[in-house]
Amino acid sequence: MSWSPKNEMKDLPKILLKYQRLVQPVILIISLLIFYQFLLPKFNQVKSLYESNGRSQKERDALQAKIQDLQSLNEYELSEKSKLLLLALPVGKDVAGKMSLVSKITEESGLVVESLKISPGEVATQSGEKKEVDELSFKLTLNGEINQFIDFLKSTGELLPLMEVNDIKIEVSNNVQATINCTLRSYYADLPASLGKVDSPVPKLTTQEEALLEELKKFRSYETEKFEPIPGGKTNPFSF
Amino acid sequence: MQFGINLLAKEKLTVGAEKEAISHLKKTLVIVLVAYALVIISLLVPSFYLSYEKGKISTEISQLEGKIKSFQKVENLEVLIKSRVTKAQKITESRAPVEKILVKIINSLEEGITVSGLNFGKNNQITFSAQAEDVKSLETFLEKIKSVLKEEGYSLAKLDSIGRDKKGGYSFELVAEK
Repeated sequence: MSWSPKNEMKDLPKILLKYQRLVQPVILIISLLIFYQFLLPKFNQVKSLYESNGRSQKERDALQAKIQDLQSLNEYELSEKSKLLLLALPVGKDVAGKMSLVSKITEESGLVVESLKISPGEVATQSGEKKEVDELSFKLTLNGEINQFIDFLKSTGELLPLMEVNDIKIEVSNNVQATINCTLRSYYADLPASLGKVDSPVPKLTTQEEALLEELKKFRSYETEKFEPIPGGKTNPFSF
Repeated sequence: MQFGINLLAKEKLTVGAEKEAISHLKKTLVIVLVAYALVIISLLVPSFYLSYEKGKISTEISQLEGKIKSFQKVENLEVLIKSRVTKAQKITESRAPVEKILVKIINSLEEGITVSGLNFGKNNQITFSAQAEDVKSLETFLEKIKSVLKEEGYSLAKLDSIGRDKKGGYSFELVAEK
């Protein structure tokens, strides 16, 4: 007797009857195979889609929050603050400008500059990493009274660009006249290289930083050069 | 001799069992198919919904990114300010209050004390050299200066050296450390 699907169908009841005990396990195995082969990948796909949407929602929320933050900022105020901070911590060394500044402060204090030497300062840390803030130092020998030197210290402490006097050695004669050797350190720093990710939050100033800005407003500045804080058409968004 | 065989009854019995087996199979298949249909529906509905949501969120994100770009100038300024102010704060915080300490030291100078040297070195170390006319002025000055330096956070103020000078006074050196 030759095989044909029709004959098989005709014989199906007999086959079923013969292998009655095997029918359910076979169906179960086939079902599991189908589930494993076709439905499980789909389930995983839905799961990853759900997770991806969760991440996207977080990103969207972060962007919305960022826009709200940006909308709350006043461009004019920011521009003024940035000008002030660029005076406090300029971009370049400006050796000539700072030398002139040192001369002005010493002159105002009534001190006489006996010698002035420029030292480039440390440009890298001991581990070789570039420093966040670069230094330009002046080694000074000054002549005058102690009180004049105190005035000089006061001036440098409330001056833009920011400066620091250290390594001070005072030799006093007659309890009044003094020869002072000191290092006047001035600072400069590069502009930020990038803005970071688009969904990274807008950096906010802390209370202490706001207080420092208010304090810096009271500082004296001999700087006359105007800064235009926003560049146009350059790779570095902060370049001037 | 004759044998009687009842073929009809056995045939009926077999047909009944076959029908039952087919019916059983049908039921099992229906259950399996319904279960599959439910599983497929429960996968397809969220899949369609999530795909739709993904597209919607992506569009929203693109729009928001575009909006953020229009605020780039403001963001540049804020990033610049934050970066600058952080650095400026580190500088101002690290500055030793030399002027304040110097004023206090000068104010605490006693009659009979002559300052010969004052050194503000690294790590906030202060070295103070002076001459005292007599022991009394030296003692009074040392008490005053130690108290002043303590106020400024100097925990250690010690007399590093002391000796008699040609005039009969005392030369001394005071070292203070934080």
